[in-house]
Amino acid sequence: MTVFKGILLHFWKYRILIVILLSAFFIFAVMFSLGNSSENYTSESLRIDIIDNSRSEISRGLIDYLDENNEVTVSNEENPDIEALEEKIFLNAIDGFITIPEDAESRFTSGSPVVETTADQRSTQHLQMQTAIRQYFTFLKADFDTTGELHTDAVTELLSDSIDVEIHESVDVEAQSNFEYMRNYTNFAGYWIMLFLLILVGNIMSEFNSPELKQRINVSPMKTSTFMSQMILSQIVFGLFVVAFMFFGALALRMDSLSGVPLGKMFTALLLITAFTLSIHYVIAAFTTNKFIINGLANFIAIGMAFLSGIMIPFEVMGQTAQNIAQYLPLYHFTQIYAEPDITWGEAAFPMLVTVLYTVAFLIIGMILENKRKTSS
Amino acid sequence: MNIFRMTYYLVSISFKDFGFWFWTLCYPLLLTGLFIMATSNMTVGELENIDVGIQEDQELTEVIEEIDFINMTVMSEEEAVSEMKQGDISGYIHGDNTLLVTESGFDQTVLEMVINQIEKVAGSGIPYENYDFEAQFIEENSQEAQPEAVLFYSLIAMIAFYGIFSGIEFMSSMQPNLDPMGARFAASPYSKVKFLSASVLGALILNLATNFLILAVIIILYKINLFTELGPTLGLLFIANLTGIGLGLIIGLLPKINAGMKTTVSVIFIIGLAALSGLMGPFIKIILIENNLTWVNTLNPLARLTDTMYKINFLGNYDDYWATIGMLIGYAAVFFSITLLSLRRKQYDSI
Repeated sequence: MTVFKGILLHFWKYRILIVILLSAFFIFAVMFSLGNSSENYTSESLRIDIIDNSRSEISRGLIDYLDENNEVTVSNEENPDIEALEEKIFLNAIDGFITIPEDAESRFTSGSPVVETTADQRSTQHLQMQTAIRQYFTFLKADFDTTGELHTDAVTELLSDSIDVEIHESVDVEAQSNFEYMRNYTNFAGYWIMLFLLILVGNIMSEFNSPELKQRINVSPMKTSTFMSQMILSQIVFGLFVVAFMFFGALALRMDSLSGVPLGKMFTALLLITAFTLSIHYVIAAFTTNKFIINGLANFIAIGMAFLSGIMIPFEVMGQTAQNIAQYLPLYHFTQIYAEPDITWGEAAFPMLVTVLYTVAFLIIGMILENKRKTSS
Repeated sequence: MNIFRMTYYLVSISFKDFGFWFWTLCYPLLLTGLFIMATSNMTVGELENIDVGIQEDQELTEVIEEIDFINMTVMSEEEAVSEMKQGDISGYIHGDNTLLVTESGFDQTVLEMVINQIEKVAGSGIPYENYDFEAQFIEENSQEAQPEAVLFYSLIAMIAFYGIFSGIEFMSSMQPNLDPMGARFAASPYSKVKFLSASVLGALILNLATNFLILAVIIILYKINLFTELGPTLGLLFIANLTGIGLGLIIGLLPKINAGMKTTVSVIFIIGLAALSGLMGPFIKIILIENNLTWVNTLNPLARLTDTMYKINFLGNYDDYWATIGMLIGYAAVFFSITLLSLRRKQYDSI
């Protein structure tokens, strides 16, 4: 097992770098999938910033009302940074902001617009924000016109007591939200494992394939098949280590929220994408030992597939051309292995088979290129 | 040899290097094409109406029919559940005014609010004629959300920092213990400062040329209007290229690691910084903002560059333009100073 140990020693040489990169991208993967599980239906809350220049009964009432179901941040600054708030909308960091002018109360009594809102008018969040504000003022005005007094607390209380919303019994909300978290995590882990293995294994193996070492290997009595099997075995061991780090790391973090998550399929998918990545690496290694090309190809293949397979941005919002291309990418089929929380092994078999076939195809291409290279040298 | 002749030679060497062209030109162009394909449907179109199912003879039918943004269809619960699971309708209104859904979402929340309002009008004790449903309580302004644009700005910021590869290449070829060219150079009387200046100048010329080419492709070929403020954007890119080269010089100084591994580390490092700045979507930026970790991107030069580019081009906001330029120049000055200090008077027992 000299070659096996030799390659693992090459990996060991970069152990600190490997651990740093694994940890950094593990944190990225966790960030990618941040979210909380819930067991029941929850109203969608808006992220609203409010600039309260009025500091009146009306503005306090509106803030209290919106704060019941939304994430409200109130600013009482004299000169609020409007441009920073617009930037937040641009980035989708907030759904909108509301400016309550100084003379809000007199505007309310005279029937003029009471508040100013800024949001992306093409979004449902805008509609929700408008509906909430309009609802509050409609009731407050009707009450005011009836009694001649402002009863902001009473209106807030009246509107806060909402109708019953039921989730259909066939839907397990907690399992669904646990699944969403782990799906996002596994998606990103798949991309990261591809990038990490292609770059790291590629570079380390290119060191191992340096002319000096190659010449020694050529004159050694070791059979090519023994050499190849030990090389592949060492890469598989490293791949398994990376998969174990990413997968069991997530399990440790989400220990209490794993019900309804198809963990077996996710683990299998990660193993298959690792095998596929090593097969791509085999092709690249047969094609070049130039580190610039290895790094470049690794980067482009990983990030390209990740974008086109719906990992970075939701598949549904991608263009039709991109969606059509995605069907032919192994990373897309990797995501389909655990596409639904209740997916059966039978349903997962097809995308698994496609990923395996891609792996085999690349191995064959790699062997052809490798043989061609040997013949030509 | 004068500095310009040396610059010419160094530019010629890089010009013939496939790796250089791949990283600074082919890779960004491929990624840009990819982003365009992937994000072409991402921009939100017009606001769509909310589709809802309702039980036959439901008492709210007439009122809901009057609401502009709701499309209502009478159906059974069974049909509704099936349509909800297919995403065709957002909810189903039962005879007892409860809402049945299969998921939480903005559409469902709006429906909940609407039904709630209708119920509360009847139950509030306020005479119906006192409600003015046509009253205008809100003055509306629009600010479009365009988070996908951040991908492109982040990509351009990443490209601007690809001077890092030239920096690494230069340092590796200049160190006598790492490269035979470095040994020859160490034995020659040519000034290190001149050599460093020529390398930086050469790298800057080539990187800027590729940056301009990529911008031209984005603007002319892909017809994406990302640069309404072209002059100030080019100023930013110029400084960012300088900082990128400086960063490459610092990484190139790392002892005992060969140029290939340094390049690998740089690729991953730059992708990490770019991911924080929005290369993989702005959600990581937002998470940092929401968790009061904005300092991460305040220190991240790629994020500063990305933010300033979209601020000046999309939002017409120049507030942090000079601060970003100052910060990038500061980083570059620190990198170049450390490099010069590390290189001076270095001696080897044997080469």
